[in-house]
Amino acid sequence: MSTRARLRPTPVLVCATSVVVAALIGAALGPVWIAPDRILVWLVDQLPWVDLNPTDPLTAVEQVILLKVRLPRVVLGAVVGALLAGCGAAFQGVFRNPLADPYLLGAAAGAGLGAVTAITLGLASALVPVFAFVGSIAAVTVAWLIGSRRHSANPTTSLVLAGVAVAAFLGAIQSFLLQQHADQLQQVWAWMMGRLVVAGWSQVWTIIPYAIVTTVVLIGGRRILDVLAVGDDEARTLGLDPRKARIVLVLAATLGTAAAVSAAGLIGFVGLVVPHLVRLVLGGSYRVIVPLALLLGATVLVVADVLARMVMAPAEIPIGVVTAFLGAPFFAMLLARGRT
Amino acid sequence: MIEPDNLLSANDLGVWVGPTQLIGAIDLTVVAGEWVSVIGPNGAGKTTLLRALAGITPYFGSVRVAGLEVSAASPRALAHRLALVVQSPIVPERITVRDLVLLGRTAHLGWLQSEGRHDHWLVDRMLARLALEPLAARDVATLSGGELQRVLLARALVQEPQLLLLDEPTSALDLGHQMEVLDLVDQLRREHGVTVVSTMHDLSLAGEFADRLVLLDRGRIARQGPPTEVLEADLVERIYRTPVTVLPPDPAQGRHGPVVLQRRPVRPSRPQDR
Repeated sequence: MSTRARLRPTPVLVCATSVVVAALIGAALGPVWIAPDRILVWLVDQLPWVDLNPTDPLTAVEQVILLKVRLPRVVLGAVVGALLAGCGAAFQGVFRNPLADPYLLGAAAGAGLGAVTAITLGLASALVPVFAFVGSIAAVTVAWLIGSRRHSANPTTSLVLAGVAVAAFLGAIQSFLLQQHADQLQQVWAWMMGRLVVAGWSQVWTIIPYAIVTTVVLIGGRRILDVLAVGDDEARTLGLDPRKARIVLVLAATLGTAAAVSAAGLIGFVGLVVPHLVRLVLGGSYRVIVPLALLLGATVLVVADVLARMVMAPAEIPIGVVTAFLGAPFFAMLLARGRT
Repeated sequence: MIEPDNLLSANDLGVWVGPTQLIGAIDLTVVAGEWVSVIGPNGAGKTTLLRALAGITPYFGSVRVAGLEVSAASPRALAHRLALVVQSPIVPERITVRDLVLLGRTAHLGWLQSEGRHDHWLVDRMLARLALEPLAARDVATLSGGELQRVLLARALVQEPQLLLLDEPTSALDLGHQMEVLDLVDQLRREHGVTVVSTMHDLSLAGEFADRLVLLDRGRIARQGPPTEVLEADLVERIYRTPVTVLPPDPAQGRHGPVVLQRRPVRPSRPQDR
């Protein structure tokens, strides 16, 4: 065991490479096979001041498939996966709770209600993500206002309980709406089980600003997550205001989660399992967990999307089903081995 | 008359939890460089007092450390002045000794800042001073009670505080380690010019190491002063509700403070003994 928890180059390189490999596979696979090496050469050839003069360049049709369909989907998957895993790590650190995930404070329930409201009101499908985003932020805000008390003996527990209460309440409203609009059940379910369906790059550009803000705050605050791990009282005597730290980190993680949920629906287990996987291999410091969870989350979701597309091709399985189907047994195995 | 340089002054300090007053009307001053030990039976309010002085527990009245009102100070400003070693620390999972000590530099770093060369140098120096170098890479969860106490002391000292608050620093330690840790604190306060306020259960050890004792009884100061004035048999018997014998300091035997020995209470004879 090293004396210091440092982000070492090898794990970063391994995780970054896994993202690139997964992305290439994701871009290659589909009804039309495009060899990953041809994609890579073509992409590098597009860079300024690079002229590889490929012997087997992509055809015009392949370029359209790549640029308009597969790459936006792969990039969206990578960004959503990175956000869910990074935010999951942040929530686990802020709440000192290994079972925390990005949906802990009601983000999923809020997004679900927002989406169901938009669908049952018959609004344009472009408004569903907007409603999901607003619902997600609103739910976490309400949970925070209920559960956050300045001198609470156990502030993190209060917040988690408030999150449970808010999620239950919003879930009840959502069920009522679904019962009243049973004809739209399938549309709602399709959204709730998660999907990466893109129409060009617009969804990617929409989510990118949130992803940047969230990533910068979480990477910058990863040392703070290590301080929070000693509990509020000790953190305070070490010179950290735990309440302020929680506000900043939860705000950033909530923005990221809301953006991810609005873009891809409810995708479970990535935010829970990926940080644990990093912790299992490289120790408990958030200086290491947060950046590597971001990278590994991207890989996992891109791979999950490949499986979602290919297992029952030409039909697609919801990506949330794939992540839960693979993530749940994996997590159970970690628990059984007592390594979490 | 020139007032001594008080590093800590508490005036009319009180702590309430709901309708219950845990401590009240405490007036306490601690001079820079002093070691003051707070003693008293279970429930007297020792830990509550220490936590109020550290700014963790809300209080009424006034507590000033190095001229700063504790309740109004930011955690960062306060951590530059005082460090607290708690009785039951929360140890994060899978953290090395060095990383736990490094957390002591938190108050000296901005949000987006990482530890620099000076921070690492300070940590290395403190690990060496407290003979923790061989343990630097160890998982904190694998340490013994005495080793953990030394690690927490190292973390508190790399904060570079003027005031060190120690909550029962010897409670989890055997006899040998109790003396080792307290000797170490004594040496460190002389080397670093740190002022120490500790809570202690062992009256003899408190009297041996502290310059002054503060005896608490049900949240109020029953007496404060040099160990020989506080550790009087009558007073100790009354507050601890048990008979004691107090032996005077005997520097020839290496005892600089009074020794308090508990006696078996005299019970009425049993009928068959008559």
